[in-house]
Formats: sequence, C-alpha cells, structure tokens
Amino acid sequence: MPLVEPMFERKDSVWIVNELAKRLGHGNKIPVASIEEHVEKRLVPAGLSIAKLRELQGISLQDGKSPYAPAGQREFEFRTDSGKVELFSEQIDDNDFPPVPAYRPAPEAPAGYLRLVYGRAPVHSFSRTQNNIWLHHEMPENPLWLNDQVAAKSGLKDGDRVMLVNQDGVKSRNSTVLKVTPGIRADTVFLAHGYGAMNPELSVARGQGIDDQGLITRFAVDPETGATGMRTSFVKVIKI
Amino acid sequence: MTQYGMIIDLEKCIGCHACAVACKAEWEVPADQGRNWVKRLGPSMTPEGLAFTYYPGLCNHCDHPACVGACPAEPVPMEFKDPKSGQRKTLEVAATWKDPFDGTVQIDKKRCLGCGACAEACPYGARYVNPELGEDGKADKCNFCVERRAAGLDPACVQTCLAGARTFGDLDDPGSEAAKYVKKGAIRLESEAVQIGPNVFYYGKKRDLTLLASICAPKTMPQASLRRVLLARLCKAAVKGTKTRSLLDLLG
Repeated sequence: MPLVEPMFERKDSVWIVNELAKRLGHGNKIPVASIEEHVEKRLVPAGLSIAKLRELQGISLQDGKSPYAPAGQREFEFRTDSGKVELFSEQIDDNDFPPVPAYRPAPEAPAGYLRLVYGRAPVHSFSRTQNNIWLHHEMPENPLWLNDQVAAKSGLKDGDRVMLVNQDGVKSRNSTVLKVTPGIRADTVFLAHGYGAMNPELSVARGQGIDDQGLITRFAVDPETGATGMRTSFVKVIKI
Repeated sequence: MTQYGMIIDLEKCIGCHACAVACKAEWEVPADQGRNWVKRLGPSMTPEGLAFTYYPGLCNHCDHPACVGACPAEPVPMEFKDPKSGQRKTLEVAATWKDPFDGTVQIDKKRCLGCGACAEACPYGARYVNPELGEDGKADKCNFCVERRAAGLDPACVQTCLAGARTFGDLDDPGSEAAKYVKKGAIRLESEAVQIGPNVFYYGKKRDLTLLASICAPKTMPQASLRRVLLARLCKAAVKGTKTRSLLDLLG
C-alpha cells in the first residue's frame, strides 16, 4: 500500500541487496525475499502484520486525533493525567519508579585511568564520510584531548603520538596526536567519533586515528528510561 | 578605487570546513593542497579567558604583496580596465600582479614558470605549486573567484558557507558590509615584522581574536629565495638556448 507508486525503474532496498547477493554468488544467504516479508518480520514483535495494518489503516496513537494538525487547531494531548508534559509524573510514581528522574552518581575512573568521552567533528557525518578524500584531508585524524595540568604531571606534551588502553586491557589499534588543552576536565579525555576504520576497502580512512568504539567495552543502561550510556569506559594514555 | 577583501565572522563560523572543500571542488585543487584552509584553534587560555575558534585562511590580496615582486617571469605590458569608470591603465607585469583597479592579486598561469618563488615569499603560506598543471606545475592561490564573479556569482567559499560567516566586498566603499565589519573592529593578521596590508579581516570575541592572532599572524617575513629565483631564470634562459641551438642544428 505505497502512498506513492515507485517511478521509473526504482527498486526497493531489499530487491537491490538481494540481486547483488545473487549475482555475487551469495543467493543462498538471503534472509528475506521481498520488502513485504522484511516488513512482516519486523511487525511480529508488535503483534501486527501488513494485513492488520491495512485493516486498521495505520497505527493510531490516539483515536480520532491527528498530532499533525496546524498549530492552534491541534487537539492532540499527551497521555498523561494532566494531558500536558509532566516533569513530575504520578503515573510513574504509582508504578514505583521515581516520578522525577533520580541522579545516580556514575562510577568514577579507577586510579590512573581517565573517562573516555566521544563526540562529533563538524567536518564529518558519523563514520560514513571518513573515506571522502577532501574531508579526510580537512581532519585526517582525531586528536586526543587531554587536560593541560594532567599532561604536565604525566610528562605528556602537545603533539606527542599516543595510543590508548582501556580498563579491560583493550588497546587501540592505531595512534593519534595528543592535544593538550585547559578546555577539558582533568578526569576525562575526548576523541571525535568515527575514526580508525578497519575495512581495507576504505582506502583513505583505514587506520587513521583512534576508533573510540573499539575501546567502549562497557556500557550502562539507565534503569528508568532505558537509554544507553556509552561514555562509561576508562582509558590510560600511552606515549609511543 | 576598489579594494576587494573578505571578512570572516568567527562568531558565525562553526568550523565545518565547507569553504575549504567547496574551493577544492570548484578549482580542482589537489586534496592535500589548498587555496584556502581552516585550522582549529584551542580551547586555549588567553588574558581574556578560555578561547576556542577557527582560522579560515586564504590569500589576503595584500596592499603590498610580497609574492608579486618575487616572480621571476619576464615582465610584459598588460592593460587593465576599471569596470566602474572605464579608465584604462597599462602596467609592466610578471606572471603575477596586483590589479590596479580592484586590488586583487592574480596569476597568469600561461606565463607562470612554476618555480614556486611566490609561494616561498608569502608569509601566510597562501600559495602553492599545483604539480598537475603544465609540465613543471603552476603556482595557484585564491583569486577571489574572479571567473565566478564575472558570471555574477559569489566566490565559492562565500556561497557555500552555511553559517553566512564570510562577507566579500569592497573595503574602500564605506557602505559595503565588508567595510562595516572593519569599522566595528575586524582585525588583520599582522605582526611587528609582517605589515603588508592583508585584506582578509577577522571579526569575533576579543579572546578568540587574541588566540587567532597569537597563533596565526605570521611573525617573520620569509627570506626571498634568491637561489630559486636565479635557478628559474637560468632554466628559462637554457630553454631559449636549446631552441636556438636546435634551429642552428636544422640549418646544419
């Protein structure tokens, strides 16, 4: 039941991947034969099917009310007791969860280790632009940010080549350049995410910079929201 | 008179490097070179506090360009025309010159010897030799997108800047947006030893400008590489000599 019929020779993603698989000799490994089968499989955990969706004409969050009405005519209400955004939720309180998210102190870094945090560089979009040769040259590796006072105590200097090893003994495959700055707290180091690709087909990006993900061997799940925290690994800086 | 220049508003720049990539795409600059560039500065402590900014650099189209005088190519007469007044002027110029009417510094790639003397003479590192051009390479640098402007377009870096951080315009026209930025405190990257009148200006917080100037204002003028200039001249003479000799050979 597509809203818009595909134009020209456009094929869906499952068709494209399956045809590639067949022609590359992997036809026996195809998990779903069509986009419809793919969607059916994904609907099963929700107790739905394409037929049921057709019957219901979609998934309705609140019967008879469109959340997409123009501003001012919006009848949509949140499904809270007050119908509004609630900072303190009695519904959650009644279910024996803290009605306001409770702060729990995060485990601190063991002695000699620093918390590894990661973030984006505006040059790249995640790791998918890493192999673009222009963007690569704009920022060929991801410098490791280290607090200046910690660096001075550890005998590390701006521009040093460094590697990282985490609390579980996992070592970074590559090295990077050290950036010493007063702009980061003393118990933390920072890396831009998306570097240190392993795939040899990524001829530009492969082996450039440190892969933060490889060092994140522990993560934490917030018991109230289910959100995953991944700035939870600790590393030591090794000068090379 | 007109003096074209550029203003970089560091309050708006987000450090995405799109200007540098747009320039490479527009002018087929090798990936490891640049007519312009972005350097990421800080966070570093300055007397005004912690600063964190960028250095989007390009040719400054200086009032007194060090590169122009370094060109060893044989000067030829060239006629310039003022698009405003229609006035004409003929100057003897080498393969690079400062336009007397719009203040931009330009290169004639056809006559460039590719010796790199101009690149060495620039204290800002704004020129490079593109090895993919000509037999021995050709000097290349920002020309304020003279070809695009002739077609009524903005320079590629200005057009692509998603933050609107780049303003191109006539610094000599007090009504231009560029001149207004200078009036409200945009700075040139100069030092005691380097005062050649760069026409790219930077606007931003005091602490960011302090950091920018402390790291990116050149501290010394490059010593003109006489050896390189002489070599380029000798090479040229040798080429001429070869031509003459082969003619003589033909004559038997």
